Parts: sequence; structure tokens; C-alpha cells
Amino acid sequence: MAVAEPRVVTLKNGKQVCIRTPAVEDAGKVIAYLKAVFVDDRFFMTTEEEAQQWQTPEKEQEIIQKNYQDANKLMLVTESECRIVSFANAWVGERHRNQHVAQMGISILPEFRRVGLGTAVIQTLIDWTAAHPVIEKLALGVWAKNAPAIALYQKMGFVEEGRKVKEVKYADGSYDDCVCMYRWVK
Amino acid sequence: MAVIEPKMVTLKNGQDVCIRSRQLEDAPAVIEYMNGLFSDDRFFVITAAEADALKTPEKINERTRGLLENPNCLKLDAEAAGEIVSTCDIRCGKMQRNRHVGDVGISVRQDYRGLGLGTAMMQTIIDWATAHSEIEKLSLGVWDFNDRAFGLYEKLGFIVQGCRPREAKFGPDHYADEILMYRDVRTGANENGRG
Repeated sequence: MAVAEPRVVTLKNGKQVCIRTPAVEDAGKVIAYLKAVFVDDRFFMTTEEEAQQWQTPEKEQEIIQKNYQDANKLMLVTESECRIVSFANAWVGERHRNQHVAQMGISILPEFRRVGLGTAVIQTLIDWTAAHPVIEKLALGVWAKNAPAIALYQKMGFVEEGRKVKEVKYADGSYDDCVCMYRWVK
Repeated sequence: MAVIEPKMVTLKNGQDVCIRSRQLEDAPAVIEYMNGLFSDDRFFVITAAEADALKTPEKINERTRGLLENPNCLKLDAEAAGEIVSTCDIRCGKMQRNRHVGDVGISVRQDYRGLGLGTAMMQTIIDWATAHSEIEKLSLGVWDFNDRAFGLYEKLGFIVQGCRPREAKFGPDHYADEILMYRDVRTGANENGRG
């Protein structure tokens, strides 16, 4: 079971938020969050249309339950005034030879960006991976045009390990590269 | 999965092999192939022990069925004297935004290496991907110590798009970096690399 200790953080906008692992009861709130964050889906691989397919309470409960029971998967939500404003997760490679590498992903509602929340959530993920007995490396992918995210990851100690050229193609025919980043956690 | 016309290839040692699409009835031959291949598992992310768990007719048929249902996948085997001696595949992204990218995997049985079979297999899937209406890019990963595979990919026009430190762990203090390579199938190999 992967559960992070709840962490209360005061943001630069003065708001107090709680970073914690979601429980099955949070499924409805998670879906409300996903609907809100996918309104602008530019920085995701999944489009808003595709995301709607897995935004059902049953599926979300199942996902939360599976993560809760798996020592190699961590989900984090940030709650502010009974609403989820950020979602993040980390998962470990499934093979013997890649289980020392964890991947992570994070998203934040627009009004909670640039207030220090990303830093706090990523630090929570780093702390979890550092305490994990097997994880040595934390990796992520970010679109090259997402400059604020890249700057945040750099600040948190991530460095570039590759650039997947034209890895994402938008409906209008334009592309973006996927920048692969990592940091050691031990 | 797309199905290609079977193709005969003559190897450097004069032997003829047939490159063709995987079918459901191939499961026993696939198991035989994996038994031989994984006797040396250094070049794979899956260990021989993990491969054992995948070597059942049910699991192999399940994967073949999955591939057959997806028009953006291709799975090829090379057959010689009734045995599979190489296999190669392309799996494209399932999302609208990554359907244009195909991940490539290939393996060649130990006693069939150095005979031009890898080149023939890769060229067959590159040709298929080039003719495919949606695929624009092929990508793959290779461990940094696998010089022979790296040389083959480079010869076929793949170029490096990243190097992931310590992406594979073989034991305490025994790691390999993963070199990420890609090939744009909308441009010719000569524009793209050294091929």
C-alpha cells in the first residue's frame, strides 16, 4: 500500500492546502478536478474528449483502490476548501530490471499555479521515492512548449536526458517535442 | 494488425528465410523461439525468469489477438526450416496525439545474427510504416553496450534522441544506459542518417 502522510502547506496566495493520498470516497472530487483541468488539455497526451471516457466514478474508484493497494504506485491530491486543485502520481517500472526507475506526472488547476504548490507536491513525490526501498531514479516527460513546468522541474533538480522529437501531434497538425527529464533520489 | 505478403529473403550464408505476419497458430513455434532467445537475456528488459511466465500458448495467443485487432500494429516473424528465427514488431500509440509514433522491437536468434536478417526485418517494417497513412515516426530504445544493434539502427537511418542514464539495472552497481533513437519515415534514410 502506497500512502503519503498528509502534508499541510501554506501557499504564496495565503491559502492552506492539504497534500494527501486519495481514498475511494474522493472519486467524485477527483472527477470534478479532471473535468476542470482538461478544459485546457494542451499539455496532456490525453485529449479532453479521450479523458471523458475514464471520468466515471466506478473507474476512478477502481484506480484509487488499485493504487492504494500497490506499494509501487502513489497517487497524491491537493485539497483546498473541499475541492481538489492538483493531482500527481508516481509509478515504478514493472520489470525486475526497471523497477529502480519511477515515472511521475503532475497537473494543477490554473488558479493554483505559480503559488508554490507544484514545488510542494513534487517534493512530496521525491520524498516518497527517496524512502522507497527500490527506487533510485525519478523520471518524467514534459512538452517542450511547457516552459513554466520545465523551469519548475529544473528547480527541483531534474535534468534533461532526451528529447523525443515531434512526439505529440495536435488535431490542427502541429507538433511538440517531449522532453525527458530525471533526477536521482538516493 | 496489418498483415503483410510473405517475403522470401536469402541470407549472407545462402539460406532462405520467409518473413511473414504472426498468426494465432504460431504459438508453439513462438515458445520454442523464446526458449532459445532467452538463454542469453542480456539485451532485454525482461529477464529469462520473467519470460518464462509469458511462455504459455494462452498468453501468446492473447497478445497475438490484441495485435490483430489493432490496424496500427505489425508483428513479423522470420521462419527458416519450420522454426522462428527472428521477430520484429511495431506498436503505435493509442491516443489521438501519439498515433503517429510507432515503437519498434526486434530480436534475432543467436545463430542467425550477422547474416543480414536484422536488416531485412527492420527494412520490412520501415517499408510498411512508410506506406502507412498515419505513422510518421518510428522509435526504439537500445542498451548502451549493444553495439551491434546500435550499428544496425544507425545504418537504417535511426538517429539518437536521448540517452537515459542507468535505465536498466542488472545487479548491484551493474547498470546500462538506454539510448533512445527515432527515424522519420516521411523522409528518406539518406536525409535522416547515414544509411
